[in-house]
Amino acid sequence: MITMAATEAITITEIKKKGRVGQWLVKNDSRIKDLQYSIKLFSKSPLAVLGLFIILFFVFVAISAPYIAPYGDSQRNWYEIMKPPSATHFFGTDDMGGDVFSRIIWGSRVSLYVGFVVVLSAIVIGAIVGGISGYFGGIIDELMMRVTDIFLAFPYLIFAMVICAALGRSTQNIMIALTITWWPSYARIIRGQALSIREQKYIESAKAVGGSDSHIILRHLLPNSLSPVIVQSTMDLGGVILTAAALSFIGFGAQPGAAEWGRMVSDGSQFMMTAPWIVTFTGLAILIACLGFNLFGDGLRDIMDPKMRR
Amino acid sequence: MKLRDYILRRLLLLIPVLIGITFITFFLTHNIPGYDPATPWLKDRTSPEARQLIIQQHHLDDPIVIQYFYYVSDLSHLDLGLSASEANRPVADVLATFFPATFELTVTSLLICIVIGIPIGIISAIKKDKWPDHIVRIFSLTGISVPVFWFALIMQYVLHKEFNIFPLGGRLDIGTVAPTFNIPFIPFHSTGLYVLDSILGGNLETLRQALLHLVMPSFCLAFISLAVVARMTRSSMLEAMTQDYIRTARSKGLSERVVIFKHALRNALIPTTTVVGLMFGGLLSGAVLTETIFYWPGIGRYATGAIASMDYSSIMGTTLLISIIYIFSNLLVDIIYAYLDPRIKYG
Amino acid sequence: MSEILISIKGLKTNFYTYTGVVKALDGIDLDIYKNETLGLVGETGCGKSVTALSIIRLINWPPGRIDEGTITFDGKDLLKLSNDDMRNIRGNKISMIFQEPMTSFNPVFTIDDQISEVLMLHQHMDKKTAHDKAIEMLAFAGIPAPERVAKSFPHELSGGMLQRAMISMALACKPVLLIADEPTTALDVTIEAQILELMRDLKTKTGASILMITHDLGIIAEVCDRVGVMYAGNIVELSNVIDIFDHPLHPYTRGLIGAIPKFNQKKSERLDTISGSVPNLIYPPPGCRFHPRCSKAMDICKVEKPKMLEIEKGHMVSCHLYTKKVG
Repeated sequence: MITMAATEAITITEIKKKGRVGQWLVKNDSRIKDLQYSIKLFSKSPLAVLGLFIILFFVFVAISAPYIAPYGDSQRNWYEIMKPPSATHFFGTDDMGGDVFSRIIWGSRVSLYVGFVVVLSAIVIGAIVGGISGYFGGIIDELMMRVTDIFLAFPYLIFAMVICAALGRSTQNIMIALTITWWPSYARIIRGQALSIREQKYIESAKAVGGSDSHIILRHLLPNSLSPVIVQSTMDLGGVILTAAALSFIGFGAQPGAAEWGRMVSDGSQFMMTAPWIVTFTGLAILIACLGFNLFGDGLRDIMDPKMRR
Repeated sequence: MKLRDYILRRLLLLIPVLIGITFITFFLTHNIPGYDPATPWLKDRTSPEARQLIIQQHHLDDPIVIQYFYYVSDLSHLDLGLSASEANRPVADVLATFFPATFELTVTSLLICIVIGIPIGIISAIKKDKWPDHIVRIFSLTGISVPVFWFALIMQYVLHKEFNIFPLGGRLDIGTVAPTFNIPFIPFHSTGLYVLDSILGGNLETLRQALLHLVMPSFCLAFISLAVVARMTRSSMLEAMTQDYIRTARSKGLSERVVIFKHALRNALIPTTTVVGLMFGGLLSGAVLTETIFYWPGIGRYATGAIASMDYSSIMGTTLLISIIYIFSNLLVDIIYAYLDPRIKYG
Repeated sequence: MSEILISIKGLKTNFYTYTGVVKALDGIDLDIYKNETLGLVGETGCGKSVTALSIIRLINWPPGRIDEGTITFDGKDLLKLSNDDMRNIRGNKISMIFQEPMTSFNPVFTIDDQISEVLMLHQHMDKKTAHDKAIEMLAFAGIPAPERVAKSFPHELSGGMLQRAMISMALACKPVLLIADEPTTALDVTIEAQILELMRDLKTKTGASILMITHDLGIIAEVCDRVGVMYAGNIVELSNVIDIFDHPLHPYTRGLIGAIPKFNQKKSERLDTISGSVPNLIYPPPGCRFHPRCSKAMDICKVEKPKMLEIEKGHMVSCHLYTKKVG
């Protein structure tokens, strides 16, 4: 705040000259300084940085799959079934001659795609429900919270399974099922933020100046909810990828033989004793991807913790 | 408000949630496209007229809301329908048969969680930022990232195939009969919990087998929750250790051990208990996968099979049961929490 | 002629932080006599609490450490005692009470539990005897219905009640020194008066000494026999309570006392203030740490730290203005 005041005092007449960008920089100076400090703190934690690298690595792999995968995702070589890892097949081959290494690369596309779509959708739905619920309070709040409670009453995997069963087996339905399972936690977070913000004085002043409800929601509620949501969603990305793989493993997602991580483990499980590399490497991919998100999210949570900041 | 009133109030609040669950479960499983609702009662060659009769008998062509009411009234008689995947046995029966297995597995996992997870968390807190802490941190983050089904398969491979320490699956060795006991004044002869039954019946061989068979699945299941419990214990211990009353305790001349294990831990256990209780729901979810891989005859495996074969009354029954267990365990946790922390005013 | 109970010489306590070494105590010399109430007064951050915690050796490493000095008590140097021996003294011969009674008690144990704990530890009482004695101590501290209070949890009691309970807990094993770190700061004024009265009373009854840490000169005037004024990790003046109000010697003390609104002061008069602010203890000013704010600073003040000299009987000051007079 002091920085802002000082900077404003100095450049108040220069603002018009600095133009839009300059104005934005001055106005958000303290936020920018905060961000710089956060980045500095973050870089001090090797585990968190490792997490970030893992995430970036997988994103890169997913995007560039067509260019870096040695073999196609449904390529079969019937002369090379169940071969252990070798120079031509880094992670070996599966029971239909597919190259495990390539299929893992192709599978990363599905997993990451599912992860991001589900989490984003969950945030949107959760934000709407939680925001309305917390902001308007009263009966709307009670009702929506009961509904959220009901959704939260199901153990997540069972719930997702039942939805998948009802809708049919496909990757898309997995995404729908997972979104339905995951949105309540975001509703809770945002509702909590909305409740506390409602009490704050600056909302009263914003209203007094004539701010409409939507204005307040957009300008105050959302930015403040940002940090807990970011932390939660990063760790949820890991959880979603894991659950999606679990659902595929059980049989709800991709078709047998598809290059999707959970499905690959499931297909390979019958040959675990004879060709353990199929399951091992695929599972490791799931593990590391999920670990990356969790490390990163954990690091994020640490730097947001007020006790660690200065 | 007294504890008793608090419990009563919470139970009352449960009712709308329970109703909601039954409704959602019912609605979901009644809307399956392309599924003939008369399936559980159809035999190989059922004539169209017989089928029509079945439909009328079971109200299958009534409006859905009416069907829902029939369903709820059936529920009150504990009639959950017939299980198509289990040769048309009543679902309630099937659940009763399979439930003890899951219970045994889940409780064992919970115990492992507590017995290993909490001490690890405490050590991690005491040696904060030193290498034991870092190791525990990596361990717990890995724990929540590991796919249960993969871990189970790896365990099977390593511990069974490579080293043959533990059996591949099932609850007892093939061909062994389930243990029973005979205690005067007790009308039934087994609980379904093989470890307990073996002890009560004095059957050492089945006890040995039951325990051996339990090891892998319960560790597998516990692994993930362990990580969470350790983490939670660590952070609540750290939180407790920075409090003023720790300084007071030290100023009284108490030994560091008493300060940590009496004063800090007692406070740190409160949030940890909540988490452990909530683990139960997570364990139930994980049980689905673990039971499948280890051929454990519990409701998790039953549910998977039911979903795979679209046996919808089983699906409904199982989902209902699991959800109810989940809700009640959550409630239990809240009550325990209120009991443990004298600061909670139930008003 | 009173005997010395505890003698502190050259106490230096430092905090090794991420941004640098905070030199919190710069060589404290202090004697506490038997059956006296010695006040330690100063601004926030001057080191009074650190002194108290150093005496009882509750400075946590990391980041704090007592680096130099001796604290002679009962013929032994407390700073050289083993941890076990020190623990025998804490709560037993030397006790401490703290500023925030609400958070200083463990919320999950009853008051009875927490008082009995110290009795069972040091006096080797069994549970029943300890319980009875705890009730006795609570009554001794002026708590009505001590049975009920003993069974209560901390959150069920008011601040004043809790502070009385803390006092009874501290006095349970009949210590010879009670260190009170701002015991009434968190309480409202009427309760404060009661607590101070109680402490005066107990001191007479038990014959203990009290080291009263406070930033409130009013409290000093009320309860203390002698007072030490601290600034930036040093004791700058030490005398009996009458002299320090009547003729303060050190410029800082003069500033402190001058800043108190007086009853007969005219409304139009401005309060005297001390300009500037407390120095950064990572890079403290050389020489006398007060010199940047001192209106009477001389060249020597910037270079050499003044020694503590006795100017008149029982009145010591650490200031170059007075070194000539004695030397």
